[in-house]
Amino acid sequence: MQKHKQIHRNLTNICNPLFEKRFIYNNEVPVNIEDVARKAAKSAIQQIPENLKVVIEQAQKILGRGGQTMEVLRKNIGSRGAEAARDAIKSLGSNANEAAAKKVAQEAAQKVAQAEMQVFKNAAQEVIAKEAARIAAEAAARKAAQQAAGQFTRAASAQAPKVLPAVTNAIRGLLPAVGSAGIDAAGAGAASVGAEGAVAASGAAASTAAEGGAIATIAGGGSAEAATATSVLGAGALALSAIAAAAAWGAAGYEGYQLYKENSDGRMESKGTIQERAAQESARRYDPSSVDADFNAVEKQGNSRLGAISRLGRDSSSNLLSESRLYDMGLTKKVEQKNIGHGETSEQVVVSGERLAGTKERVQNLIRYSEGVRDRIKSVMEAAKDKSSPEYKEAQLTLDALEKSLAVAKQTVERDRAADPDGDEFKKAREATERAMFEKRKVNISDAIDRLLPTLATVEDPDKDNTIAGFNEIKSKLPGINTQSEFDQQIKPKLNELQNKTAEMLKNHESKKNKESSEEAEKQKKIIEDPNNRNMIRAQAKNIENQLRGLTGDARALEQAEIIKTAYDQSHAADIAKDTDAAVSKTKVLQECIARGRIYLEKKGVPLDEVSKNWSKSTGVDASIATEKKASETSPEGLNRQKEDMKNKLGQALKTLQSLHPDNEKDQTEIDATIVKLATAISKVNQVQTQKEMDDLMKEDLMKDVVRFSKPGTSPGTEISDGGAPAPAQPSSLSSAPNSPSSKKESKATKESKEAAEKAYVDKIQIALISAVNVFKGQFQSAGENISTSGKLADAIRNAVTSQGAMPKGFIETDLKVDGLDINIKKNESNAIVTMNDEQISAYVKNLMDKKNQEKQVQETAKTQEAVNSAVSGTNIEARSPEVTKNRINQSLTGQNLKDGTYTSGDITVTITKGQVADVKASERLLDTFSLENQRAWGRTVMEDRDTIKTSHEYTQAVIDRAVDTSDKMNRNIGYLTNHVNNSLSQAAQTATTKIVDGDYHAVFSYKNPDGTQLVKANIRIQKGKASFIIPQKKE
Amino acid sequence: MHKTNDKSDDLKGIDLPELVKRFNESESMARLSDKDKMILLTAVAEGDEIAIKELHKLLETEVQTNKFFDEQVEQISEEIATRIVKTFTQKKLLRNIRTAERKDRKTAEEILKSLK
Repeated sequence: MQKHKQIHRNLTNICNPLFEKRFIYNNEVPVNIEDVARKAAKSAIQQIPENLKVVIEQAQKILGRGGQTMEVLRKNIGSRGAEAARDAIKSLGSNANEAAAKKVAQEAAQKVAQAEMQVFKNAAQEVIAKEAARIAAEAAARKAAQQAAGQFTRAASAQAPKVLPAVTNAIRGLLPAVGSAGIDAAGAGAASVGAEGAVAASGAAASTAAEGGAIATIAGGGSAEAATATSVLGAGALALSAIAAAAAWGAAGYEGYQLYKENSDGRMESKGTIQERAAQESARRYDPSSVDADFNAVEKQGNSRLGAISRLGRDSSSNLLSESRLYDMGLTKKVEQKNIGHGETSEQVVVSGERLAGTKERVQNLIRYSEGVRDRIKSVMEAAKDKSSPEYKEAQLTLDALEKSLAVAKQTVERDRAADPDGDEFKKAREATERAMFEKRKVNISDAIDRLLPTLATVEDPDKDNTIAGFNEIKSKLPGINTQSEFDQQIKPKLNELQNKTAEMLKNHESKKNKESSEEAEKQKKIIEDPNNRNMIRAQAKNIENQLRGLTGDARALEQAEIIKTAYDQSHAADIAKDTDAAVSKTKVLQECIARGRIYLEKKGVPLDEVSKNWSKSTGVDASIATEKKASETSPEGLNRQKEDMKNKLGQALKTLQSLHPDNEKDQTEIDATIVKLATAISKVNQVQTQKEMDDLMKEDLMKDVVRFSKPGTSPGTEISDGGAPAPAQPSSLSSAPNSPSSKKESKATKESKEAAEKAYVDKIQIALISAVNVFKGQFQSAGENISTSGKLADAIRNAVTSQGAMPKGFIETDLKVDGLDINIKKNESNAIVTMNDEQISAYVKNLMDKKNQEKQVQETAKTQEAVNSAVSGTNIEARSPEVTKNRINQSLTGQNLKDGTYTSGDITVTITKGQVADVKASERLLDTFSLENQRAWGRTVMEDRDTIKTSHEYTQAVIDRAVDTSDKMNRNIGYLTNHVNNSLSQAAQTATTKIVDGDYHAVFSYKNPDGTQLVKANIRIQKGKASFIIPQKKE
Repeated sequence: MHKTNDKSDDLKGIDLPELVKRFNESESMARLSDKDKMILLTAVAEGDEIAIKELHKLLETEVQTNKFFDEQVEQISEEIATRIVKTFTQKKLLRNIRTAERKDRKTAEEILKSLK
């Protein structure tokens, strides 16, 4: 009992605010059931983050998309935190000692770190929330499945006592506070808390949910079939996708219930049920006989009788006006649609018609209740002794306002009656919709059966054939079913029976598969855990490595062997840590490695079947996945892995070369040339997009060279020295050849040798220049704007040329082009003179700068948008006052670098000025869901305001007209008229209750001048209650 | 300790009211849609074992995540403070300390003088 009470309390606390928000969903269109089913099935098969590490990794990925990683975060905190820490220490002044300094520095840095870390935290929270959403979807799915299995009634009975009080309390609590919005919200909330609470309360509807479950199971089967076909999840997929699909139907019913409830038998339960419930609740709440009780309740709160009746009157008047407003809006829409032949579907007409009918009923209830309140006010006022007291005056004002609200409400009811006296239009639309929905459901059932049958065919069950035949029979009968009662009699019982059978079959199938799956996992686990097997794995890995080494000396074969060895080492390490799961995973890596090795060696014509057989025999792990892996070898992941491997190798070789300092100049020159080659090779690997490009690149001489240099165990210096000067690379960007001189005196051999030397020199320079420009670009990208200049680029180009050593004898001059830059190199004695186009260099740097700024701007805007999205989604808009919303968003954004601008996230538009939230605006759609008071707070002119303003404008115009009319006929001039109008306005402002409002008005009067009388039209502008001037427009 | 189902060993140790309380206070859960919140809480109220276990696990993960972030903040702040105090302010600190010592000494001398 204690437990139930606690749960009730929690539910009630949570439900109340949620119901208020539920109103937002009222305008949502019905969802496409099948789409939702597919999406839910897809999301449900996603892997679950199993531990913190995964969550963090995902969060990092999210941040990574915005260009912010943990490392960057640390750096940001590092520089900004250090700055804050320094400032904090400075502020200590003479009080500084090491302990105090450390303390303030740490506190200051902590503040910065917390703010920066918030971004990261938000991302992690997002991941966790997504995971929670998945759990929710599965919970809904389980519930739907449970219902489908025929357990609904019991579950509903058990939960009804728990859920219904929360729903009822929510409705009761909300009615006085939010008026019609509360009723709608509570109605929608009742529908949302599902289906269960409301449906369980009305026993007849219980079967509806069970029928929904039936289709869910059918749809589940269909999705299961798809999942099985893809073999992604294997045994678990069937059950998982069935649940996911059921969730989709549950979710769809959830939303759809607000408009129509989807039933398996084609019967439609319209949202009218909810409206009716709300109307019943409204009738109960606003029963005129409850006026006395309400009055007594207010009085008991410490109010005087006049005060209590005034408060009751105000509430009543306000509720009546709110409802009337909704009623009027709905009616206007309906009349407009009718008049202009609006293209709404009959379904939409039914929805708006039912909504309107619900509102109308509530207004009528409120009218009766308000009349009761009005009578009560009158009787209390009559009984009051002091009729001049402020309280009496207030009661009088309340009475006036209530009378006015009653008049408005009655007028709207009358208008509705005149617009559609017999309600025929609505009735016809409802019938048409019901027919359409019935047909749609028949099609849905037929489709679902089609999707289910292939899956059912794969289930091992003796009753399978009968079930399939039964479904086929239903399918064949469906087209001949034309009414709900026919469906109930001829289809429904059989369908229920079949769905129960199917659910049972799928369940058995799932448990069987699960059992098989767990047995397999257990088997794998045992294999991994067995030390003998581990030794065997080790031996096999070594064996394969040796075989690979023995069979081919090629670098790629060795690479495979190395990977195998690494994988084995990791597997062993995992074993040491007693992390069996990781060991299994690492073994899979090993398995992949073997497969990759096989693919490679098969291509080379090396028979490795024996190796595979041995492997399988000794480990029990199937190594025959080579065929599957052929596809993944060319997958983006595979390609990226190859690229990364190659880059790592080249990078390692580059580092080794850079660390070498040979004694002789020749070796140094060769090492420099190789460094350039490696840099060029890395750049080319980076540009690779497809497997073919990768393969082609590997065939290039340049790559052969650098792969040779980067082989483990080889010394690049030695490699180069032993082989003499490497063959020069042939960069594809080479755009010119040297202008070599010709000499008739030279022998042919000498001439060729000279030309080769010149060509080699030019090639070398070209590569050095490409590398230098690339390096410059890289530095520019990562450095601050003021670090790299055009001077530095020019220097880098000059250095690249001059560092290439001595120029060949015959060389005179060459023109090169690097990344669009024209570079001329001329020989002057033994030195190289490098000439560049200064304008080109400046333009090049400027272009880089512009691109960088542009990227920065885009990144900042995207980052800010992301932060705003996160802040808005994390802000509980239920507070709904603009100031509170603004403060909360500001709070969420604190410490983030925001770019000024206007950002829209969902229904909220945020303007950021000087890094702070300067303004928030709510969308019209969102404002529609707010109370009138809050709409005003958000700056919207609500209907009551508009009425008042309009009346006041009319009144002011009337005062002006009257002043003009009553002015002295014989003595009219503008000055006189202005004074006269002003006097009238001033008098009216003091005596009348209606306000004089500023604005532009018109006046028409005759003006007598010496030539005769003229009619003058004028604009009168009222400012601060005074006609400050009059502008004659024209004389007629 | 309140458990939804006393027969279930899996739910031992999960205090449901406490779970709901943590759910309400969770910053991550605040990001959920109202519908999901309601489904989860209804599932908890109805004793959906899987939902309860997974939610419990998830809330634990959030605690660990927050702890991780807090530790990171502490660690980074500590690193910065140590570095700054050691490098940037060392000289100034020494100077300040010496100045303070001089002042103390002077005060002591004055007190001694006044005692004479």
